Amino acid sequence: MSSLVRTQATRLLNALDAELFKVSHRRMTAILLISLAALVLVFYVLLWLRIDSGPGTRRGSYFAWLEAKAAMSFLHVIPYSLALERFFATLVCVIFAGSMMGNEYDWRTVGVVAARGVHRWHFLFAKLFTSTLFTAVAVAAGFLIGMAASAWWTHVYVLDYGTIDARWLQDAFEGWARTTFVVLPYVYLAVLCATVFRSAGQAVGAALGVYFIESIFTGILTGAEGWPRHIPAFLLNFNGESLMRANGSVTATGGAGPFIFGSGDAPALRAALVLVAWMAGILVLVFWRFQRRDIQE
Amino acid sequence: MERVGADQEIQQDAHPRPAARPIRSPAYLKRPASSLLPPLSSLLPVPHPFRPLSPAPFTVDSRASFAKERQLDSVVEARGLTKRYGAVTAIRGVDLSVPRGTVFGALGPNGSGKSTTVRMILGLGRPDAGTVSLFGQPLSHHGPDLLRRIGSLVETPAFVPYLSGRDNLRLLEKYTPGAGPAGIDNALHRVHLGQAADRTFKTYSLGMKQRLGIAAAILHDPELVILDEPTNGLDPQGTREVRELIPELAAEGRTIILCSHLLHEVEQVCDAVAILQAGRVVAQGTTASLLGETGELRVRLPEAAEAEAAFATSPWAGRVRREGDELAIAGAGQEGREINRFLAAEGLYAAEIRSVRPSLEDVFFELTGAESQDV
Repeated sequence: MSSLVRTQATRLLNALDAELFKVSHRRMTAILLISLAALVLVFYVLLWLRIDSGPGTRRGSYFAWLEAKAAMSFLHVIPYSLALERFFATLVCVIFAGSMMGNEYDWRTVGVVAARGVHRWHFLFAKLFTSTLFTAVAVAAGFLIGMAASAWWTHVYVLDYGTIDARWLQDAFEGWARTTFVVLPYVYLAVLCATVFRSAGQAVGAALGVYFIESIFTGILTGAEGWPRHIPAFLLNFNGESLMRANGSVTATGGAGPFIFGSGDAPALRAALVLVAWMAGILVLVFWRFQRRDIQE
Repeated sequence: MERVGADQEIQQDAHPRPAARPIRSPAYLKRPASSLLPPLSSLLPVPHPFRPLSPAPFTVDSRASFAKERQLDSVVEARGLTKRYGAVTAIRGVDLSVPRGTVFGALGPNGSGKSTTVRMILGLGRPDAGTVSLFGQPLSHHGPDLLRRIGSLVETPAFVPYLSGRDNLRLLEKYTPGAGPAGIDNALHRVHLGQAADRTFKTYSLGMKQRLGIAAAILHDPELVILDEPTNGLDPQGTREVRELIPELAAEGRTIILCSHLLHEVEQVCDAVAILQAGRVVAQGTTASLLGETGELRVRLPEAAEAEAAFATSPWAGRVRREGDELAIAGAGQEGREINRFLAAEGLYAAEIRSVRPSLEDVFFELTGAESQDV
C-alpha cells in the first residue's frame, strides 16, 4: 500500500515538474506578469496625474482629490493596491489558466501525455496547482509593484507611510492571500471552460465573459425588488467584493478609492464560504469532465 | 477459389459487409483479382464476442501459426470494440489480436476506423461497447500502468510548439522518467534529428515533426510501439529510413502496430495485417496467409486445350481457366511441382510454369471494395 502511495506521489510530482517546466519555458508567462505590473503602474500614474492636476473647483472635487491622495499613500497600499490587483490579476490569471489548459487541446499534447500512461487526474492536478501558484505569484508581483509605486509617490508628496511593523506585515500577507482567494474561482472557471470547449480562445473568452457579465448582472439585480435582489449574494463577484472589504478601506467612510467599484457587503466568513462552495463545485466538474470525456474526437 | 479451406488463417468479421465492387487488377492479371481470392464465406468467421481461431497447421508460411501465437501471447486484444460519435458509428464490433513480437499492420481507407481503434487502445477514447486488454490485462483497470509500456505516434505529431525538439523530449521524459539525457540523445540520433534538436518545434518541417514523433514514441523503450501513418510528410529518403527503422525496432523485441494506407509499405514490413472497412475488421491474419494461398499458377503450353480437358478429372477440376496457350489454376500458387508431375503423366510438357501471387493491394481492394484514391 505504501509503495502504491509512493508511486502515485512520485508520478504526481513528475507531472508537476513537467508542468512547471512548460510554464517556465513559455514566454507568455513572463509577458502576462509584465503586463500585470505595467497595468498596476499605469493606474498609479493615472492617480498621480489626478493629484498633480490639483483639486479643481467643481463641487466635491476637493474630497475626490483628497481621496486620490489617500489611495496613493503607502498607508493605504494594502486595500488600494490589492483592489487593483483583484481586477487586473483576474484578467491575467484567467488568460494564463485558460490558455495553459486550452492549448493542450489546441496542440493535441494532452493526448500525447495521456497515451504515455500519465493519470489524467495527475495531469489536471498539475495544471490546477500551477494556475494557483501563478495566481499567487501574480498577485504578489502586482502588489509589490503597487507598493513600490505607492512608496515612491508617498515620498514625493510627503504623504503618510503609516506604521510598518509586524502587524502591517501580517495585514499585507492576509490581504495578498485574500485577494488570491478571490481571484481563484475565475481561474478554475477558465480551466473548466478549457476542458469543456477544448480550446484556449473559447476558455478565456467564456471565463472573462462570466467575469464581466456577472458584474453587470449583479448591478442590475441589486436594484431589483423581491427575491431576485438576493441572487447576487450567491454569485462570485458580490462575494469577492465582500471579502475584499476585509483588506480595509481608503476613506474614513469605507470607500474603496478612485477607479474601484464594488457593492458586496456580505460578512467575510459567509462570502468566503460561498466562494469555497463555488470553487469546490467547479473543481468537481473539471475533474469529472476531464476524467470521463474522450481526450480527442 | 473454392479450395481455400479450414486451414486458411484469415479472419472475417462476423458482421456483414458491403458487397465488393469490381476491383482494379494489375495488368498482368488477365482476370479480376476477385477470382484469385477465396470467397469471404469460406474464411474462418470470428463471431463476436471473440473466439480464437483454430490452431490448424499453417501451410503457406514457415512462421509460427498466427492463431497459435495469438492464443499464447497477445500484446493487444480488442473484443467487440464499438465507438459512436453521435449518429455516426466510427467502429463497430472490432476484434483485434496483436501477437507479441510481430509487426502488425492496420490497413484501411480513410475513415475506416484505424485511428479510432488506436485511440481506444491508448485510452484516449472510451469505447461504447467492447473491451481492450494490453499485455493480458484489461485497460479499464490498469490503464496508466499498461500505457507506460507503449510508445505511440497517433496521426500528426503533437508537441509544445515553443519548446525545442530536445526540450519536448525532456518534457516527456519528466512525465515518464527513465531515458535520461543519454536516452534523449539516442532517440534524436536514431531519427536523424541530432543537428536540429535545439531548434523550436514550430520551425520544424512536417518530416522533422514526424521524426520527432517517432523519437518520442521510442524514447522510454516501450514494449509496444504504435505508429499511425509514420511516413506522412516524409521524403522518399525519410520514408525509407522509417521503413528500415520498423524492423529494427521489432528486432529489439518490440511489438509494432503500423497504421497505414500505404499498402506497399505494410506489405514490406508487416508480419500480420488487419484490414478495416467502414469501422469493421474485414480480414485479419499473417501477411503471408492473406497473400499466399490466394495465388494462382500459370502454365503455358502449346497443348493448352488438351491440358484443360485433362484437368477436368484432376483434383484441380473447376479451378482451371484457359487463356490462349496458357492455363490459370486458381489457388494453386504453391503446387507447381504436383501440377508439373500431373501434366507429365498425361504426356504434356509445360513450356513455362509460374506462380502469380496477388499483392496486398489486390487483397485490400477485394476485401474493402475501395478505389485506390480512397486509400
